[in-house]
Amino acid sequence: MADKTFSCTVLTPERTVLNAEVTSAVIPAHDGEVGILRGRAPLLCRLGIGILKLEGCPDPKRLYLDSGFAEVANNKITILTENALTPQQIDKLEVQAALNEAQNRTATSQVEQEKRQKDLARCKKKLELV
Amino acid sequence: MANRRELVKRRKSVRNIRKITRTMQLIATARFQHAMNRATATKPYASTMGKMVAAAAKSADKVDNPLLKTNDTGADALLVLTSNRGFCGGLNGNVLRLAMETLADKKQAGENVSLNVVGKKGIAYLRFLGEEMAMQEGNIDEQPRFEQVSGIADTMMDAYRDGKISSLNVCYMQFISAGVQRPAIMQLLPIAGIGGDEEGESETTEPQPTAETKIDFSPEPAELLNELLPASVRMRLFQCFTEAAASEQVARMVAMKAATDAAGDMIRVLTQQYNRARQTAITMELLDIIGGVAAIS
Repeated sequence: MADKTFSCTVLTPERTVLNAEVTSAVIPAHDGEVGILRGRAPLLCRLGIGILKLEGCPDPKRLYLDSGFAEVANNKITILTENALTPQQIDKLEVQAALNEAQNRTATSQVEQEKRQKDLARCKKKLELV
Repeated sequence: MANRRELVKRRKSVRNIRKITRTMQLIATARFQHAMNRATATKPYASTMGKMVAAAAKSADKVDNPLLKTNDTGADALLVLTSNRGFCGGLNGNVLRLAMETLADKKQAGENVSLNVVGKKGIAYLRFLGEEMAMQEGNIDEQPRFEQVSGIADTMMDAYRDGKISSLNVCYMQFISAGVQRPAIMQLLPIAGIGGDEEGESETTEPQPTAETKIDFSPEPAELLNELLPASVRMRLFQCFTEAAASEQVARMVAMKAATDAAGDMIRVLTQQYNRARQTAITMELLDIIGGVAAIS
């Protein structure tokens, strides 16, 4: 059977979060999820807020990503993000509190509205992961 | 007599100082390891970021980003990175000297300069000089976190887009190796050149990225670039911070080693003096006794 794995690296400015061989990856692009298998054509895309799902590698198989960029080239996927969290790193109560706060916040201006939406999305994705 | 006791006292206090400096040296060594790991941990991110920017720039038909264009209005911003704590030899002095020289040059050229200072030592020094500071940040500790740095970068980029500042230069202690650090000035805005050939040693030279393969972009390269550029500015500023932090620890390590050695030398000298004084005292006493005996007999 042909080798189906490819390497996946998740980098933040502060450290290398993950470096593993995976069989499939689903990355949260800015406009929806993108599934990636071995042999994917080169891709460069912006990431949204969401969850990175990996298959065929040791834990963590799920990572919360808060925007960033992903590059696929030569069977290697590199993800740059300013914030990557494993499920263990997420404090459920804290997120719940942040979610409540964001839901109850009144946003009057356009900027505030956008910020609120973003905060909501962040909290929801985090909760989804936990 | 009094002399002898004084010598003992001094020797004791020098010993205590040596204990302190040695401990500080050990602490700095441990922290330096940590700081250097942090500084090197940023490298993969930075080089990948450089590759992405290059790839996107190559495919974008027209690059139109305010961060690339030179800005005529506003002051030149100089961001000076100093440490929060002293006992690190010439580190802050060197950085501040370079900063002041640059400042003087720019002022002579009739340019407006807005001074932004990070680190308590730099703030104290410039306040003493009576310089006006646009921003003072004394709360970034020895392990700068990305959120803190990106906050500063975002403020600066906003100011740049609004035309409040016309350029951004960072003055910091560049970490070249554990043995060599140099005060350096790096231009952050406007972004000097995209395409991987950015000047400055901090950028790792990458081979030409991904041959002539066609890359799928999402969104369009130009739009992607608008997101990538600010991210790369944030990243580069963060690199400056981590390098400055590593340099600070090295400087402290070296300074404390010198202090420990100097204290050791001093103890040796004091011990010698003390022994001599003691010997003299004994001789004097003996002479007294002998003289007394001689007088009686």
